[in-house]
Amino acid sequence: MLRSLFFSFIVLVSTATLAESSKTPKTPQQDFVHTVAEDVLEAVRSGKNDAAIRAELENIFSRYIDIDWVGRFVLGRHWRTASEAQKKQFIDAYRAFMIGSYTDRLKEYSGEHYQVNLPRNLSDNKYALTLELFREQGKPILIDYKIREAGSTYKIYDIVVEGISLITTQRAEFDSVISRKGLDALIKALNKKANRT
Amino acid sequence: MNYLLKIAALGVMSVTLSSTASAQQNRVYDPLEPANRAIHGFNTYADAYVLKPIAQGYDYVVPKPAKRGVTNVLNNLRMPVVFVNSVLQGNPENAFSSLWSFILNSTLGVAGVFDFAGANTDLVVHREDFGQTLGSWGVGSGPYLVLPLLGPSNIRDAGGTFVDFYSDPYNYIDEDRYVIGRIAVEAVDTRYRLLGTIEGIRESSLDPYAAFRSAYHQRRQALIANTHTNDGQ
Repeated sequence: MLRSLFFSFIVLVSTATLAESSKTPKTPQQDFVHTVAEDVLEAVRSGKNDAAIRAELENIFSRYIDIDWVGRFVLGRHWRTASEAQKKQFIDAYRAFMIGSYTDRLKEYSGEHYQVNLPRNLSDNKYALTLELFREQGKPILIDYKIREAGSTYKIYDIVVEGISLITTQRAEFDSVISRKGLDALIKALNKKANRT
Repeated sequence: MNYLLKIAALGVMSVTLSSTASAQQNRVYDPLEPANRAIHGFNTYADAYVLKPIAQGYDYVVPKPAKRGVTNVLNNLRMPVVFVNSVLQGNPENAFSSLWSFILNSTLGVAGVFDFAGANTDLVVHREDFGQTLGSWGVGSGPYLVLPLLGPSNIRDAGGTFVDFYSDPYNYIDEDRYVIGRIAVEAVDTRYRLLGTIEGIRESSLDPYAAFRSAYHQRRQALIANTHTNDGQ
């Protein structure tokens, strides 16, 4: 009797702490990633039409992602040789491309549960946080959000899924396109891809 | 004895092969790009017309628990190779987990159909292969390779795959159809689990060849370092 009482107490306490740790973010960094994830889920779950969801995501992207820094990073060494006009065209095209190509993909994740783990300090103002996306079967998918301080809040500068960094992959890809066809062709291709989806 | 000799010989061979390759930074070393691109093109077609339809059919026809069972059996069959490589990497924890998981799943998990160890113990097994073992010994990846039908690889990992094949006791079964059958089922299972992922990369990519090349390299680096990854299981 005593034993089973003790056991149920342990179960109660452990489930309570589990629920606690997965629901309440403890650090401002966790809070930030949590807000981003919730905003994205709210947008894709809203049941609005594609154009409205897209507009909402556009909003979220500009609020939470350091698109100027990311755009510069993904152009890599080609940023220095680009003209001012090209830089501006590229950033605009890149933003549209990101929103266009991720709207559909984000929709697929709408039903799943997740948990944001404790932040790891990368340097004085940069952090990495792992979001565990739980699936029906198999182990959760691990998504690392890399964020940096920006005034009183944070901005995302990279997303790493199962060890694969978005910005590193895009930089390699864009470099390949520019080497073979040039920067203007890349900008054109980005715009084309952005408008198609 | 013969078996051990073979492993040792192959190991030495692939080390010498890949240690000649230069160390690399951000850009993936790809001197064979024209040939690789051609094979990538062939693979894209082979995938679109053969493997992907088969994987989709499999996904559609076979009930979820059965598909999970197949994945589990294949995972369990890998454990001996994972064990060998964990030992070679000086990782006793993973060696223990893989061995114990293999014993539990082969018996209580009914020949590996159920992931008994995963569900009932805290054993965490990182999937290790000889390509990763070489990486952990400091061997560079060498030139990037796209293998016909098998897809992205590099000299080191291709050599590693070869070594893993010969170090796997399963492949010493006398009946070829079991060996070939497992490879075929593995191909379908892997493709089925990547349905959506590969399409996602292709759709949001301006140069899928370059995207896969970079992604493969990063993923292997993460697997070698055993950092932020659940091995995609």
